[in-house]
Amino acid sequence: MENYRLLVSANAAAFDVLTQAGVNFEKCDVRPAANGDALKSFAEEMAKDEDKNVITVVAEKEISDGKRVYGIPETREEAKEMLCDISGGTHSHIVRMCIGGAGQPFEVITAEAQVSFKKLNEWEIDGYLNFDEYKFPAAYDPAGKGALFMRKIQGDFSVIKGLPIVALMEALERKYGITPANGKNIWWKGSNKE
Amino acid sequence: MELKIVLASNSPRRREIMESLGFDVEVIAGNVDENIEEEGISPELLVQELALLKGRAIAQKLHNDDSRNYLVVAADTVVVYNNEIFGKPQSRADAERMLKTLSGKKHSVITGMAVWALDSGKGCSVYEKTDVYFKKLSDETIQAYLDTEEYKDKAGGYGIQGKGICLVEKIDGDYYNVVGLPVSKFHEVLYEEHRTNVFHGKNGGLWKKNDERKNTPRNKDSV
Repeated sequence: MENYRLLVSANAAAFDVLTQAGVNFEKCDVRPAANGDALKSFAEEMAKDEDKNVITVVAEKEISDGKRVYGIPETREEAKEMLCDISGGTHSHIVRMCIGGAGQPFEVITAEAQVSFKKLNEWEIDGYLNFDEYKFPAAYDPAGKGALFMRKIQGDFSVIKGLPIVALMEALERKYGITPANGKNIWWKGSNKE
Repeated sequence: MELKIVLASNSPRRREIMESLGFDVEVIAGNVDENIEEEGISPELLVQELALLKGRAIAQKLHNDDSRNYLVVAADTVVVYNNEIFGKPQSRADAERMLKTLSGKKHSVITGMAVWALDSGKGCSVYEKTDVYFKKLSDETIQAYLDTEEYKDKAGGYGIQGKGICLVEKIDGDYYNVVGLPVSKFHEVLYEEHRTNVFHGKNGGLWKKNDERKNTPRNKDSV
């Protein structure tokens, strides 16, 4: 049975998702400069010199409420403005994931999850900002104290962290015949993280 | 007087949630009889009563300790599908039955939470419900999951905070409620019922001193 290696470029929280899910993977420290169409060419470039059994995954996330895209705030003032903006509303975490290599073409898959945010008071915003935990897109950490503000999630929680695990699972099965049952050095069976 | 959170729970997952957020938590779990003999009791009421039972036992234990102002938090979580309550599986075969039942379907995870402030003697209970939609699981995937033994000690036979995340297509509600403690609701209860500002006291108070989570290099590159 053919075994594979999984090479992943993504954010730190996305790596946490893969570890949590019991996936055997290797981190790529380089990240694409831009999201969107550039993702595919970045993934192809990343895979160029790799062995023929290496599957390449590149995942990038953005947060949007349909009116604006929220990046990482540079200052506390900017963070406060973002938190005021998303307070009491619903915004989307959108991940574009490119997967391919190991004899298969590259394709981009998009996954989205929505977060309903608590209506925040001034003291909540100032109190949160005092912890200096705002260097995240839209100025909150979904895996930190920012979780106190997330009233509801609609979608796959792994998208919020930066890697849609269910979409990855489906792509691995469809493109490479890799399932948790046969492992192929990626999933639970045959994974050294078992 | 310094406020101290006491988690009246044996669940390592609840402790992990609180600590991952940076809360300074002391765990004091008691042994309570969890058999509530009320015919036809709804899951929502059941989990609140169980949380009250667990919390009350610890609150009474700490009642005479006036060295600190304790906030006792207790919780109980159940998985409900088609009016049937799924507790922790008794065996691998029981877990298999649960996962096969939940495959491709929607179920609810309901957590009851009780919070006591010992200084005021005031306690309250609330519940949170999250709908969880399972992927359609093949027999092979179910067996592979059972082989990981992660089903043990988990209501419904899976843990969303572990490899079980691969079984879940989507959720509708609070993610942390599915893990075992609805933190958003906790924040709400602290303020609305106990007039406690959760963010008061950056270093100390409810939080671990010198919380390492804040803008560490690991977090700075998170996008």
